[in-house]
This record gives sequence, structure tokens and C-alpha cells, in this order.
Amino acid sequence: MICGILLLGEAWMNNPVMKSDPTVQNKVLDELDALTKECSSPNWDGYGAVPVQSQTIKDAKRFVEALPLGTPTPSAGAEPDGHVTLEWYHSSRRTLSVSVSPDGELHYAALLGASKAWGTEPFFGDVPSSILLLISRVDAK
Amino acid sequence: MTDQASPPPVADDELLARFVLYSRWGRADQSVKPDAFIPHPYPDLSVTRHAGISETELWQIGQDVADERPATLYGRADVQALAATKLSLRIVPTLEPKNHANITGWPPDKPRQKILALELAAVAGYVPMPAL
Repeated sequence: MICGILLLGEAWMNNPVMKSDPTVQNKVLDELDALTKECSSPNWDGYGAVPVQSQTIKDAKRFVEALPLGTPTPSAGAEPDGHVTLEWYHSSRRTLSVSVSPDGELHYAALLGASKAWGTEPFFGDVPSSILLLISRVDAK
Repeated sequence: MTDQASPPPVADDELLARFVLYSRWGRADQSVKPDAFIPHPYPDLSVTRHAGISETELWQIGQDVADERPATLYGRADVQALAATKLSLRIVPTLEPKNHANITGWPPDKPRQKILALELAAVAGYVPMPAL
């Protein structure tokens, strides 16, 4: 099962034609545009949050646009340290949150039933296979 | 609680409220995004204890927090103290403001902060601000 998921992830990664459906992407891209307005001032969360930089929003959009065709759509959000979050939420214990940081890193954490995973990957324009695997596990029926 | 020399310790079964002042942190299914539990810019997470005050007083504290910023109060995320201590976080009550406490002991690195925030969000309940 895990191997199957890994192979699917690799197929997504290795086929540049198989990009995520633009119509499905629109919702999250709209959410990211909204963050530009909502989170660009200091203290946007009422607790002293730092502003989300426009470059971080752009990186988050690049990440979303790099998702392979058929990938479930995340919801967008922001954290008080100025990171943009992309969240795949199936239930409280099947969820993945990826933070796009201002310095081009992807910090992720996932709850998968009794298992959990967390870590950091660099973002060079492709979605790391480790994150694709976690998306597929959150979405697994 | 504020008329005592030191605040009473936080019991495991106490509920703690994290006021939500950003609209995208509450979900429609009465859950809350982990983003609401990321401790920044402070090393601690500011919460309000339910103990000894009414629901109305609790919301008033939240409204005071929002008015001070100023910001809009959208709701609150309630989490039991035990959920935090199970994650090796500590809850430190403070004398001021009223019923205040800090959740401390967060790791410095972002991925470990995120997994703790996910764990707290998984057991937290989101209560939207009641309509006036």
C-alpha cells in the first residue's frame, strides 16, 4: 500500500504535464489573494503577528500550481510568524499542515491516526515527494 | 482569582480559551486550525482560564482583548489543560490580566511547534462568538 502511494507520488512528480486542475486550484489561489489583504499589516491576528510578505504568498501559489493533477485542494491560511499555511484536513486526526516560510522552506506536520510526521523540506518549485506522500495518506479512503 | 497573592495552579480538567481574532482560524465544523496555537511573537501562548468565571465574563475578557488591539473577536478555541501537559507543555497562571495563563515550554523549531499545535487543535473545540 505504501509502495503504491509512493509510486503514485513519483508519477505526479515526474510528469510535468500532469498538473493540478486549474479550476480546482482557483479557490485556494483566491484564498491566497485574500491573505495578501488580510495579513499584510503588523498584528493582523491581534496577538502581534508579523506581516505576511508578498513573496511568501507568491511561493505558496507556486507550490499550489506545482501540485499534480488530481491532488486534493488545500485550504490556505497564515501563522503569526508570517508563514502561509496550506492545509489538507480530513478530520482532526487526519490532517496535514504545510507552512511556506519567508525564507523558502516548507515546514510540515501531519496527524495520521496514531501516527504523526513533521519536518522541513526546501522548496525549489516542485512539491517534495515526502509531502505528496503525506497528502495521499490524509486523503486515503 | 485576582484578589489572591498568587493564582491557583491549573488543574488538569480545567478548560483554557484561546481567543480567535482572525476569521480563517475557525472552521465551519466547530474545529479550529492549528495556526491559532502557534506561539509567536512570544515564546508562550496566551490563554484564559474558564475556572471561576461565567460564560458571559469569559466572552467579555475576549472582547477586552480584541478591543485593546483593536481587532474583531470571532470566537475562541477551548482546550483542556491536560491536553497541553500531555504534550510536555506547561501551564503557568498569572495574576494579571484576570484568569490569564501562559502555555509554555514550546520547542524552538517550527516543525515541532506545528505538530504540537496540530495535537492541541485536534482536541480543541471552536466556539464562535455568539450573535449579539
